[in-house]
Amino acid sequence: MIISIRRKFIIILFLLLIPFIVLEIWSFNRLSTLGEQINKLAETHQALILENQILETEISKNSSLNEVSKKAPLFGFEKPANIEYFNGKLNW
Amino acid sequence: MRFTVIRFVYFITVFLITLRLAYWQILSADDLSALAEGQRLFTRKVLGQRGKIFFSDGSVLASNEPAFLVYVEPKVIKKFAEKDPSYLKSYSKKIALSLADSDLTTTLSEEERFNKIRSIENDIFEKLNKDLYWVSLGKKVSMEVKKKLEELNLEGLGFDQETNRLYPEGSSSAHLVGFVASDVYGADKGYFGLEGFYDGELKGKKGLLSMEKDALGLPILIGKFFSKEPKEGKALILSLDRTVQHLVEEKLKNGLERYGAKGASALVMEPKTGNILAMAAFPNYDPNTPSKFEKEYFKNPLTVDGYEPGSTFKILVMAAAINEGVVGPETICDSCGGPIQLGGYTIRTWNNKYNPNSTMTDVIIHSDNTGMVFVGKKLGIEKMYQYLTNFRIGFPTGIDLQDEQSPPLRAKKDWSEIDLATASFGQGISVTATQIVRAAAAIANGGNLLEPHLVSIIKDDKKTYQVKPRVQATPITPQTAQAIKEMMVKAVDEGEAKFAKKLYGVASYKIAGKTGTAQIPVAGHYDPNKTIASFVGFAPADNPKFVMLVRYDQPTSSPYGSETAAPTFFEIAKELFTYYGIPPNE
Repeated sequence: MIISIRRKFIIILFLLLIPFIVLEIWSFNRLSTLGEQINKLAETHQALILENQILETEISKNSSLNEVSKKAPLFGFEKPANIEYFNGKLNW
Repeated sequence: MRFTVIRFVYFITVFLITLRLAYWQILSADDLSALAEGQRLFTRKVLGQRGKIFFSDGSVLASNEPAFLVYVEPKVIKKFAEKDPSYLKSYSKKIALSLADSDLTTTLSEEERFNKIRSIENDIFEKLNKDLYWVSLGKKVSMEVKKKLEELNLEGLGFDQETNRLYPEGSSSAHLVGFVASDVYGADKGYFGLEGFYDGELKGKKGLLSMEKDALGLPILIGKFFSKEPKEGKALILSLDRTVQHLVEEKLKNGLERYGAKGASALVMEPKTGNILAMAAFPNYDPNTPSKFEKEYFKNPLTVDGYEPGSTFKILVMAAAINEGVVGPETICDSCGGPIQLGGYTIRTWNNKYNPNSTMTDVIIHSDNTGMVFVGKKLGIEKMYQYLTNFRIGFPTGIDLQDEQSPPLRAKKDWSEIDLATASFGQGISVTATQIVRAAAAIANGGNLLEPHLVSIIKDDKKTYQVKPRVQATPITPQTAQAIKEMMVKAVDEGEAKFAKKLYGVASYKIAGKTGTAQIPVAGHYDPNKTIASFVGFAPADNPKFVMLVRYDQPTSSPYGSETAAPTFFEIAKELFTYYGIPPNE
């Protein structure tokens, strides 16, 4: 009787442990093989940073005064001329 | 017996295995752990970007653009080369074709392009034949070239990201910004100007990324991981106004051509703070491609070149004499009736015209050398030297640009009467343009000699440091400054520059200024045909917004400052009045 209870206890314990063991092996394996996804994320991150840098460079070049002064006349901008200063009195 | 032998052999074997295990697991444990970690652990240095430089309005003067180091792994491509003897040659040629066209700033003839490709091809071929794991084929390669190389789909070819310094304004502001190039160790280093002076602050700090990788080279999530973030260098925000810089360069460049000068330079500064608003010099260079220019173009003539200032120096000497009380604006010159003989030399006025009863104000208006000799005599060598030192002539200004120099001031004991006389009208003494502007600013702001500076804010992700105005000395009183200011206003309104003032549309503004036409010393004598023509002034005179020096080196259309530098000064001043919304005040 006693031997039977002990045997049963061992079997139940064993049956309970197996899923945990399998789960642990599976999770460690998963964690160890997630490297590819991490790598892809890291590559995407680097690519986005690079794209940002390229866009920043383009913005810097296009907003340089040399470029702006070339394009300004095309948009109708001209240098101010015949400036008048008012002394606060307006005669309409 | 047989059993005993077997047992003996068994125990000996176990003992030997244990010994060997002990050797591997105890004695060699550290070495093997290190080897294993070296195999698993991937460490990469991450570049810290160089700090950016901004104009006062936040637009970019210097930033970074992505660039690439192209490398090849010769051992990887060796197996292909063994199968096909022509593989390495064709490999080298494909890369050479892309790398040869990477420089878009130089146009090459067909023959030059062919020679360039050949040279690069031979260089690559030599490197591919080396018994190395990794060889660099090109540095600072652009994104476009990298894409072309990637499209070739060549085995063993790889790219490491770097950065290249970018100056979006091109050659504008070249002399004050400097450039970045490699030092002897191949690392980026700033040379000249702001890049050189603030190299330590601008340099980024490298970061580190260390992680365990598996046999396929993929990171292990639960493995060791260590990262240290790279730190971008500090950012510099300048007092330099992009619009003012642009218009100064435009007017100066036009003047350089119009007056047929060898060189032209201008410096605009806020007299109350020492903030530099614009600084330009021609000929200049493109800091994006410094290797294409001769070294002589790199130095900033405004902070490095000494020159004899001529009549612009008279305002300093007159200020000294008035401050000392030896003359006043209405003091009559008793030796202005004709040329002065001194120490075997004859001192004349620039136009050989003499006014016997000139006041000190007249001396400044007519730029009278004989009047200045009178002032110098009144001052004496002792006081003259003291005031030159008070104005810090002979000392660098402390401007935050690399390689600023100051011509030394001759020792007091070596001064003779003729030296005192010539120094009083700005000959026989050497200064830099920055020193003259600093002195003029002292007159404009009521007597304070301020340290000129370009950077107003230095910032990183944690702190912001504001550069405050620094008073270096107070050589004259506010009353003296006011007296000289009034003399300078009269010099503009009644002197040789009055025609230019009317012609360039600033007649209704109160401008204080002084022309200068200094002969250039050549082999022990002065060349009568070569001059440095300059004009220094500030406006509006009663509440100056800017002080400016314009200088032409050896103008050919006219040697005089009143006919070259003064018109350019007024042209720029007119634009500045509009830009700052300053109404006429006369």
